[in-house]
Amino acid sequence: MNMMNILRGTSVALAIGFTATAAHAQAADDFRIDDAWKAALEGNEGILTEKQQAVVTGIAYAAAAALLCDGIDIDADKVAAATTAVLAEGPKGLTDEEQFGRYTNIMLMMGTAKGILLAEGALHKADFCAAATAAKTDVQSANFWK
Amino acid sequence: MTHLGKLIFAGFAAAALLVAAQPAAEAKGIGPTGAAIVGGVAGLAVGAAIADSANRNKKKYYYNGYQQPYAPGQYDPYFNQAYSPVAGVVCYPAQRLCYNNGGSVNGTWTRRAFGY
Repeated sequence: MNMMNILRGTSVALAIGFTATAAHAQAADDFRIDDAWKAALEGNEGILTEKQQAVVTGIAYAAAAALLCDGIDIDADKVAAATTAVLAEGPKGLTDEEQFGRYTNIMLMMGTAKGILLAEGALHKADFCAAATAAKTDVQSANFWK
Repeated sequence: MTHLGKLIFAGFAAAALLVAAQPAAEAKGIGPTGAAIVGGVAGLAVGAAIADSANRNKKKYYYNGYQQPYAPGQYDPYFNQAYSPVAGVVCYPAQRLCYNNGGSVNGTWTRRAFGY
């Protein structure tokens, strides 16, 4: 093997190596939009309990998937019941103004979460919708779809 | 988000609440003036909520039994902290959601990890 072939072979090997590394890095990324989530969550700290945050995030995810994915539709009754429960379980002794402020914060959080999940889902729609379809058929998984 | 971005977002959110508030108010028979008042109250609430969320020191209320979920000095990393229960799955406790590598939500692990 002459020097030219060695150089050529080395560059091909390097290119394959870089491609494999890039593919591995891509596969190992969950593509969550971290800065957006941090900004959304820290503004809402202490307003929602962990369970309430799970419900709000779950509704937002269900809504995003229903907008992006064929065959997935929101169950408005489930969403209404869960949202009402979250709104009803607030701190005791709030003034009317604080109560209304809390409702508004929660609705904004839900909308913000839905928006971020829409962006994440739209960027990787095939994977996002395949996972949502699988979750819909998981009978043990709580969801807000029909 | 920039200050301009926050203002634009606040405008959209306020408009959305106004649109939502007006038919409901009219359905109760309080008319356009009442709807405008309801809308105005909603607008104020949105403005206050957005302003307060941008400044955690202005928080007025917390849920009963609230305890800081992070150690002193750990505020910043907390909201993006993650762990991997199995290979290819990443869960975010502050968000209460698990993701698959590749860009999708993992409903099964979300339920296992966070009970919902």
